[in-house]
Amino acid sequence: MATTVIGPGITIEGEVSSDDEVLIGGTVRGKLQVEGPVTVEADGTVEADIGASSVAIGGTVTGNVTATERVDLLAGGRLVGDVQAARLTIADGAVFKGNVDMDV
Amino acid sequence: MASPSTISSGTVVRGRIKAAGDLNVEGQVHGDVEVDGELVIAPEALLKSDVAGGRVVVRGAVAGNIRGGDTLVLESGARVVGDLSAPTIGIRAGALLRGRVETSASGSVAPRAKAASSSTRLPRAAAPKKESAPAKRAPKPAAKKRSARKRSAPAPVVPKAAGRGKKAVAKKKKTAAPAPVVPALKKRTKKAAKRRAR
Repeated sequence: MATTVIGPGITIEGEVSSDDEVLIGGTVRGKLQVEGPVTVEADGTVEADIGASSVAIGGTVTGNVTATERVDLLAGGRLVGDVQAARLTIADGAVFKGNVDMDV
Repeated sequence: MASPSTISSGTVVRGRIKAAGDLNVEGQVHGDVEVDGELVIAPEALLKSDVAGGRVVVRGAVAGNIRGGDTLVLESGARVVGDLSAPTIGIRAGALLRGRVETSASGSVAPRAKAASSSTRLPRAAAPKKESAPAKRAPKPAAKKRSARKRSAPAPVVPKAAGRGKKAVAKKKKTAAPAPVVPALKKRTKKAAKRRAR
């Protein structure tokens, strides 16, 4: 499966929907709806609600994150928004402000 | 950067894309695309938007104007409905284009209103010439080509005919009431002018 790469220097303002994996090293503002996994790299900035199978956050995310599988907030990652996922990991050094809903 | 920025085939973007580097588009984009570096539009890509790039290579479908800051190349298999403008433009055999072509130093798109003037019609007529190179094509593109020629071929003739017709029209007004339809009027006046010349 091909991967969508939004590299550094790329800014998308609007809605991104994908059946593939999405890698974000740039900026996305709007909405992000992905069937596959989403990775926000250290340089990546997302100002959008994210819906995906799994989300790994190493960069900055402002918005609600919904994942069918898991959300990983990596060291150096920054998330302001609510998380809804079956599994959530928050690494040491990550910044997180928001509510967690793990469907208990 | 490990891998170049790519909008892959399963991805749809509705909105504006601005890129400081290079970008490959294999999926769909509905919105403006602005790239400083090289923009490659893959065969399976569909862009319904205006496109601007430093160097633009089109192999897929674009519905919108394309502006190249440096070069703009329509490769074989490209399908473009819109105007092209760049200092250097290449259209390979097998590319389909419906729109105006302008090779300008500035690489800026001329306003649409100018399209009506006679001087800008010349490049449009030149476009199908390049297009006609692939003789062996599927029937669909062939039909498109024909329609493109039909539209573009008479275009350069019209301003000339109108220019000649003006004097003839003035003469004819005295003799007979001209038909209200403009094209018919041109034909008649042309013939009348020839008859008078004899």
